[in-house]
Amino acid sequence: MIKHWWKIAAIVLLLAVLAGGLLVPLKTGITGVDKLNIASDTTTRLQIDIYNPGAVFKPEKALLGGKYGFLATRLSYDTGVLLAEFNPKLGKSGPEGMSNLYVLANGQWMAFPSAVSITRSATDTGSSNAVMVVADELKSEAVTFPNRPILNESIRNLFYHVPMWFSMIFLLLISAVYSVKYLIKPNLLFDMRSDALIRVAILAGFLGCATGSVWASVTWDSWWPRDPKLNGVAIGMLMYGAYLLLRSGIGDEYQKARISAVYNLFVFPIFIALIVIMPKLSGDSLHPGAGGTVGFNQYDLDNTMRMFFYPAILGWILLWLWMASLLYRSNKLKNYLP
Amino acid sequence: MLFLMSMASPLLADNNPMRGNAKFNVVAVVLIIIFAGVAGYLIYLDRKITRMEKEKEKSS
Repeated sequence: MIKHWWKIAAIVLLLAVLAGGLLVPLKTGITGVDKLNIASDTTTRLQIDIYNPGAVFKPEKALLGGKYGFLATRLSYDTGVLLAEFNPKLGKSGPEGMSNLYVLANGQWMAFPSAVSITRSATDTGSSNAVMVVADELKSEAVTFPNRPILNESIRNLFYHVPMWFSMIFLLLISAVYSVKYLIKPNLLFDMRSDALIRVAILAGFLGCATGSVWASVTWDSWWPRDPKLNGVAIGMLMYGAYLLLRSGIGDEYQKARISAVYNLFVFPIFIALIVIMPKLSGDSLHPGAGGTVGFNQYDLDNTMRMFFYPAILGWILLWLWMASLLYRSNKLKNYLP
Repeated sequence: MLFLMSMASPLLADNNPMRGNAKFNVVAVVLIIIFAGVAGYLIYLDRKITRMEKEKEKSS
């Protein structure tokens, strides 16, 4: 029992991650507005959809624009829909174009970027009524996940899609260590460990591709968007596919083990370069933390996501390690005669 | 099982916002139960392989 603590830890961690990751509610957020265009110097009523408004939703301010913006003149709220009346006056010099929408409710600002476009109407020749607003964001203490436009509820995928890649890289790293061990001391058990780890890592990587593809189809509008990370992964997966082919083509156990070890040590740094370093260098990856995009840590103001993200990584890594150990042990029973 | 059920009951409560009108929390609890089943199968495999390893040790 004591020996198996890490397997139990994997199960407990992942149960907690499934429960928390799927059931902790998102923060209150804006999911849509009913108009794309509004004219200046006319009173327009915007219908704003509020997601997870909570039991009491008290709107205080609504603002179109950014640091300088137009405050709503009237606000009324009823079950998930906020009605806000705006009368933006651009004046002679105010810029037309896309405006963000901000709503202050229950002491917290929420944002919806590029909500509506303001066009100047013919009568709008007076002075502007834009005000300067300082959005002092209050941090909430509640256990909720951030509610980001585009991502919305799919932000939960962070606990299931991302750990697939972390696990894959971790398993491949250990497998490379066993390859080094084999080259130092040609013991077939090292080769079998390294092989089992690679096979399970390929499965994790495949699941990472599949789940990422599903996620991207909703948030990035394509099953396989143009992204250096994805292309790097595709090449990397092919290289590990070649590993499987290479192994199946060699009969002699020791030759197979030595060639596998050398190939593994050759491929691992290339794989890391392709999926970690290249996307950062290219500068236009969609993935967080690479090039122009921000990491997820910027979204998570109250650390609720971290509370589940780190256990998720650890739990998934342990689970895949467990599977690799089962594969290794059954292979050992089948092939190896001590 | 009891442990799982005691963990799941607050998640299934009426006042969890994830319940909403769509009862999403039910889906999440179903997924948790399925994962528990998969984990149970892994434990079963692990024990089976351990038993076979011991038998092999004895016979050799």
